[in-house]
Amino acid sequence: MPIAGLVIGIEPQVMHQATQAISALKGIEIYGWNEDNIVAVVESKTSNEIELAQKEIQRQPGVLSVTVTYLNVEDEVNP
Amino acid sequence: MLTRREFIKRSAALTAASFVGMNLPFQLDKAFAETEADKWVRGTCRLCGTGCRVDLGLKNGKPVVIRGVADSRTNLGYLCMKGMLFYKVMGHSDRLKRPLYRAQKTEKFKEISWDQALDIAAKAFAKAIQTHGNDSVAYYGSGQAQTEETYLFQKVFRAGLRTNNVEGNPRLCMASAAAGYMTSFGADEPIGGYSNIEKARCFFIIGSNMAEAHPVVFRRVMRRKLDNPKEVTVINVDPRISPTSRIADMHVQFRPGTDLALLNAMAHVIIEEKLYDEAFIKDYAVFKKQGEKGPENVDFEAYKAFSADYTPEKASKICGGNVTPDLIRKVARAFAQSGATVSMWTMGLNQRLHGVWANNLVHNLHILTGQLCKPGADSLSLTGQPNACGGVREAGGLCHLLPGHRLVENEKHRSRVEELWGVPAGRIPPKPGLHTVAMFQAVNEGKVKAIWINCTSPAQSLPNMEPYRKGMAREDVFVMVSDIFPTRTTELANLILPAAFHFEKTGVYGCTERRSQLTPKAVNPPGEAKPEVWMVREWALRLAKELNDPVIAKCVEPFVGLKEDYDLPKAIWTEYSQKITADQDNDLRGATYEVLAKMPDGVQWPAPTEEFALKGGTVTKFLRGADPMADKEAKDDKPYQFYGRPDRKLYVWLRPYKPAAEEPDAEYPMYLSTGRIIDHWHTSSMTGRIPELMRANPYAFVEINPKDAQKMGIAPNDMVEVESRRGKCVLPAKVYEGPIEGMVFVYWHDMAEERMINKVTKDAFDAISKEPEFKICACRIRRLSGPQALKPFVVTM
Repeated sequence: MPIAGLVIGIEPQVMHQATQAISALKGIEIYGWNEDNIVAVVESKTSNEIELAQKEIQRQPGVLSVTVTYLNVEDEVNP
Repeated sequence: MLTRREFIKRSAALTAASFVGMNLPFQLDKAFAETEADKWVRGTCRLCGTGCRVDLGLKNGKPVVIRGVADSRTNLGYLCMKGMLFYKVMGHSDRLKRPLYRAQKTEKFKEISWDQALDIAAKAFAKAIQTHGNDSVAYYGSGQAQTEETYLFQKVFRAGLRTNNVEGNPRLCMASAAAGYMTSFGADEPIGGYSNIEKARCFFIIGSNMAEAHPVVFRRVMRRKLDNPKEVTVINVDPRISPTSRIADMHVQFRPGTDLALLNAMAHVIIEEKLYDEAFIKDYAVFKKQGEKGPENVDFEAYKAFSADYTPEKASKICGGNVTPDLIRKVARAFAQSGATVSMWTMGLNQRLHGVWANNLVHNLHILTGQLCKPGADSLSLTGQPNACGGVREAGGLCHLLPGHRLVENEKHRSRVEELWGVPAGRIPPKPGLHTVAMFQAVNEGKVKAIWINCTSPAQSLPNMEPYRKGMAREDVFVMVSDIFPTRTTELANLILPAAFHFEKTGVYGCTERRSQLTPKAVNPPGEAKPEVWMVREWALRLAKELNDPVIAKCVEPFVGLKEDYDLPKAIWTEYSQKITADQDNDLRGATYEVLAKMPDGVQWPAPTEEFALKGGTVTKFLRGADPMADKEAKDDKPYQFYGRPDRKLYVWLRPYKPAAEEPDAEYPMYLSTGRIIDHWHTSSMTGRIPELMRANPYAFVEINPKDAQKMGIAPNDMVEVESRRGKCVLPAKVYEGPIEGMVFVYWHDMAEERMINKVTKDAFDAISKEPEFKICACRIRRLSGPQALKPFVVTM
């Protein structure tokens, strides 16, 4: 079960909407925010799904950038 | 209470937040109940040989958390999951709390008092000695026992019971490394230590999966590499691709056992391309080969001629795998030309038929290229257990050793120790006792009639374990076991003594880098559990009466009447450090309990004075100005004084490639190797009872290369039988680009009957070190079925 820490750059004026939209996404937990960044953690079944989550976050209103800053991956047995 | 998953998520969040300078409403150390703990006690981690310093947090006298010590020069504040969670052992409901006894091993255990237990123990050993002689008794100890314990045990056995049948489980892990240092450098233990990591430009990690076996040291290596990606080269040499391989610039994958050819080929390249340090060799090296009658000197030309045979082309054919002549040359050049290469290894080199040779060959490369005693350069054997060095190697815990790095066979050494102990001359027998495999073979044959097994579980950890389990089950062998939990070994005992755990007693551990560190008592042990030093003292006093031998009592006389929680171990440490190590190469006179308590970490020997010890001790051995012994023993004005030997030289040994004891053949066509995983320690008697660690790894797997798996129709999690000439196990398969094709790798921690892989391993051992070849034997595998529901298992009473 990979766990990733993300920094999400947000347009400052729409921070409120962005946090609402992102916190509604499955598997994503918001841990904090300031004027223009959200810190979130993504948990998923595979590393591929982390990538998909990143893309999903990118599509949300006001999101300027999504960066994975920490990745914890236990060995995945290929199904 | 934080779960492991929650901890990782918070780590992820904190890392992200630090990128953008954000403060989160929690801090990780606060998450670990810092606000809950009302008292902190500083000590050392109970688990591996890294020697992480920890603070145990107590709330209302109960252990609730462990955190790392930021000022420690070993772990720099970091811990792995085992280190963070081992406090959960202390209050566990499975803890042995009262002595247990049964006359016959088929009976059920009955609780008895300590008086009864010690009487039974004394009578059993006395009877064995009176009927069958002094060598019919034995002690088998542990690299996890504190130095005070090992020292007192071996004193009573050698000078009291007059037997050198004193052994310990480091015979199974570090004996080859100790013998390697002795034969190459003339003195045991590394020249440098971890401080070289941050100055190294090349890491040569061979026979070690340090990412899992020494995670906190690995963190330093990884950090060094990631901070200096272009300047630092990491070479990982392992038949298996492991988590350690992930940071390697070059991974060298070869048929198990052929690293001897590889290392010789590296030396070949170093000589051929003139990458050796001529001045260093001239000043400090002699070349040795093993002749018919013993070691013989040869010259550099003879060594060149010997190495000429190990061309990269020849070695590449022997090694197979991905080992091309080109790769060998690249690796040799990177090693030789970095100017600051640190080699690190553990069991892959030690647990071998030719383990000592493997160690010598790595030391050879450092001697040839002059990469010793300099910043960032060292040949650093990583010690597996927390006190294999401090207790067993340094304080006389093996059958051929006396405390203070002395030898049983040396008459002057015996006399000196007898004199220091105040016992009559000639008390210590002149010949080494039984080494581990021989000791348990003697149990099998009924020649050892009484054995005390302390803090280890040989019924699971010995290679080819089944005959030894049968031997220990003999009704005519009195088996007494001191431990904290029931194990596969307590299952075979007559007498079980409940022991105090780490932080429930006071004592010293000496880790990988010659660093001694003190862990004081912080809480009471559960029930009637006692520290081992108390057990030995009380037993010795009774034995002295049973055998009418006052010298046995003399061995513990300085310690009579002392309270066991602090004064008793302190008195033992004082005798050992002040008398026994004085002027020895592991001089610990400066490392009194008071000094050790002042240090955020500990003291590296030699440390002959308190003043020097308070500065930390000797960072680099043999280096004048850094090592007080180097100054004292200097024979000339050279900067390095290799005082292990009178000639002040290091030995480059001519060691050939020879195969393992049991190579694959038509009947058993695969290699089997075994090892640890990060969250489990040894036989999992402790980690198997910590829920977070057991949940992550409920049972052992057999790792199978995808090509082999495909050939045999094995899918992930299929149940697979792994069989050798000695026995078989059934394990779930992990299909993984890990072991080289033709090799399987099994985790050895699992106690479940059908998953204890030492049923399959072979007990052939190195002729010099007597260490068994756990790492290589021949096996065959076959698919039994699809996935099955498996139950995690630990032994309970």
